[in-house]
This record gives sequence, C-alpha cells and structure tokens, in this order.
Amino acid sequence: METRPISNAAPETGQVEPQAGVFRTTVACVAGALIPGFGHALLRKWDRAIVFFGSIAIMVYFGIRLQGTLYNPAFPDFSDFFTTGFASLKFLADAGSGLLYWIPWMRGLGTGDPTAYTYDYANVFLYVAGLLNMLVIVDAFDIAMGRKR
Amino acid sequence: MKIHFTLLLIFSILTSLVLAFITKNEARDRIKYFVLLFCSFVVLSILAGWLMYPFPF
Repeated sequence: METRPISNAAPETGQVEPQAGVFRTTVACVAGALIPGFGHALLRKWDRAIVFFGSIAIMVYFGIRLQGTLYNPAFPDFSDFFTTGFASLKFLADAGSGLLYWIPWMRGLGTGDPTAYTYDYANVFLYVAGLLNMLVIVDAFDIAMGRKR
Repeated sequence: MKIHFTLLLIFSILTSLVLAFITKNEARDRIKYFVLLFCSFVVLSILAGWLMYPFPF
C-alpha cells in the first residue's frame, strides 16, 4: 500500500474547515432561515444584514399589503401531482422568508384576493422574498466557511 | 400603490440591492452591479410588455 504525506491529505478530501466553527456556522444558517439577515448579523456582516432584512421585510410587507396569498403548508399528493405539486412549490417559495412568513400566516394575514388589481404582483413579491432569503442563507454559509469575505 | 410601473421599480430596486450585496464585496462593484441589474429589470420588462402587446390574452 502506498503511503502519502499528511500535507497532501487535505486537498484530496476536498473538506473545508469552517472559519467560524461548525456550531457557529450552523447557528448562523438557522438564524438566517428564521429571520432574514440575522445570520449575517451573527457573523458581524452588519451592512449585509441590514440590507437583507430591510429588503426582504419590505417585499413581504408589500406582498401582504397588495393582497397577495401566503400559501398554506402543503405537501404534494402524487395522485394529483400537477395541482398539488405547484401548490407545494408556492408554499416553499413563500416560507423561505422564515418568521416573516410564519407570523403573518399564523395571524391570518395574507389570505389573498385573486380579483385584486395587484394580486399577481403581490404574489411575485412574496415568492421572490422567500427565494432571495434562501440565497442569503447560502451566502451566510459561504462566509462562515471562509469561502467569501 | 396600484401603478404597475411603480411596483416594477420597487421590485427592481429591492431585488437588485440584495443580489448586488450577495455577489459583490466592494462598494464600487456593488453600485455598478446594482445599476446594471436595475436597468436590466426595468428595460427588459418594458420590452417584454411591448412584445406581448399584440397578443389578445
């Protein structure tokens, strides 16, 4: 069996040691999933934290105010996947905002009015807020892992 | 707040801001990228609107 020097072992395994530590990385990602930008705040990236929270919160506010729908938690029923599958995707996109989705949803807001003039725009605001927060979580993960500044 | 163009501008500003902060680190790069994204959102949306104008649905 061929033996290799220890110094070559790390690059071959491709493992990256988290700069912020595994615990802090996990906490930052979970915090970011709950409150947009909070993960960055824990990593002391204040400018990003403020921008992410502000932008996503404003988008959710506009989405609800313009009578968009906060879709209920739904799981795909494989006997009618075409209908229920899309409903699940809409829920996933909405719920990406974390507590900004769950708090209004529990308070009964975001029931939506499909006849409203701004209904489509409102839904786009809500979907995009959730999807952007998913990108924000990945960004927090990359910063904690030392892949980004 | 029922003017679609105003909503388009608000959406473009917020989305471009988040994407600029995610993808760039330096302030100068962020501003350039923000302007590029914002202009792309607005111009391409208007263009798409005009292209769809002849369709009856």
